[in-house]
Amino acid sequence: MATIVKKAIRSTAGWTANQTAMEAIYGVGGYYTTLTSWEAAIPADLVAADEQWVAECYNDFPTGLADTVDIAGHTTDATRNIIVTALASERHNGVVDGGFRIKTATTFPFKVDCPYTEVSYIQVESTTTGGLSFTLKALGDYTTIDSVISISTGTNCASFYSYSGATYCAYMNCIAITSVGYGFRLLDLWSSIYNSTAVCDTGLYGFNVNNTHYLKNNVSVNFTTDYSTTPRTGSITNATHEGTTSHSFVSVTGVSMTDGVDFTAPSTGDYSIPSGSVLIDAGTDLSATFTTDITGITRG
Amino acid sequence: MAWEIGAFEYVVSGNISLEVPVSSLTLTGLVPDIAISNHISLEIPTGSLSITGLVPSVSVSNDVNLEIPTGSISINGYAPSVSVSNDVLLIVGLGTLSLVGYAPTADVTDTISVSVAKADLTLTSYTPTINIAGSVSISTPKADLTLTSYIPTVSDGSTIAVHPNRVYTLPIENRTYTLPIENRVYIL
Repeated sequence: MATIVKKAIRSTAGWTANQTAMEAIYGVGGYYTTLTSWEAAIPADLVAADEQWVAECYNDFPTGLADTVDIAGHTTDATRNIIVTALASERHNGVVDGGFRIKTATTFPFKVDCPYTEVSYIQVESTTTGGLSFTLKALGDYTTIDSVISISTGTNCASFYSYSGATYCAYMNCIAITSVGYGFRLLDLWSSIYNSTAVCDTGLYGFNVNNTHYLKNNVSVNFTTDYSTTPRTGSITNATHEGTTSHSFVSVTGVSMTDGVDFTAPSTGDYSIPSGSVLIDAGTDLSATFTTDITGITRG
Repeated sequence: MAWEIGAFEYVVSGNISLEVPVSSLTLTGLVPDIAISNHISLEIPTGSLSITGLVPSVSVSNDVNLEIPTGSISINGYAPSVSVSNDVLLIVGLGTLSLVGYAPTADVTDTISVSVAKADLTLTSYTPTINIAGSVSISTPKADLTLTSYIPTVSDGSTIAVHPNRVYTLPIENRTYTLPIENRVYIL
């Protein structure tokens, strides 16, 4: 079994204030103040090193961590891979700005170009016009993106973007927020997008995917086009705000989702489901693939 | 098995805001119980939450904010109890949290912050007990933590002290007392 090398991503003040407890978990000096510096310390060949590297991010950065993360250049496999996550007490719990987040004025705040990477429970935001906030590059095969909130702004922006080349990735429980661009603009192949939400001001595309992508249990709100017309056969139970989309795979149609009814408080970044939402019990059981929601509680 | 569409599961016990603004919520019976868990904010601004019975209990766990700004939670019975665990923020602002009965207990474990800002946390009766374990801090900047009656105990899991008919007060200054307190008991 691979050795797990676990490090904290937190401010020096946050580490120092909890030093005894931190050192018990991560070892003496076991923290980095940016994900970039942590990534630079990861061995080039994790398979040869027989190690799995885990970054546990702490909510020490009130205005967001100004970082530009690029996970690339490592040899990995399914068990000797790279994991970025936030502990239960440090994560957003599905609410925008509710936990650890990266917020930076660069086009690519968070890039993955390394197979088998797992990213979960963090928020990523590009404040640059046209930014591609969470980007999957060509070598990012088998990447898992679970419960990530991604925010983008300006013309041609995308909250989740992937280059062609990567294959068999999984997005689940994610929330894509964009001003006028794309929620998900995915050029990779054979990936799955499950139980994710795309919202915008006046966006172009909620889920812009191709015919190799499974779309299940997703929500797209207010985009000019909510879903690509030809996702992979078998896509099912995806909902729209307008209730007028008539793609054959969108089984929740003709039901108008209204702000304040189908989301708890969208104006303040809370897209959880209140009582009475048409989204309750309307999804497909995907428990064979994953079992939790964006807050970490068990589904079903 | 029923699944929701979107990023969130909808559960009755999760993502709920329960407010008792100016009225009261009352549970009465042999073993009345309120269990609060998973990302819940429970506020009692000016109303009251009253639980009365033989073994009434309130348990709160998992990312819960329990605020009692000016209202009150009153638990009355033979063995009333409050247990809080896992990232619970219990704020008693100007209100009160009181347990009254033969053997009231307050169990606090894991990562919990109990802030008694200006009001009192009071356990009254025969064997009131506060059991504390984990990274717990009790802050009483301007108020009192009071255990009154025959065998009041503040414990870190083992019994630290048994002093009949004493009032333990951890108040006065703007200091935070972190318990366990080195196997000592503060008697003021």
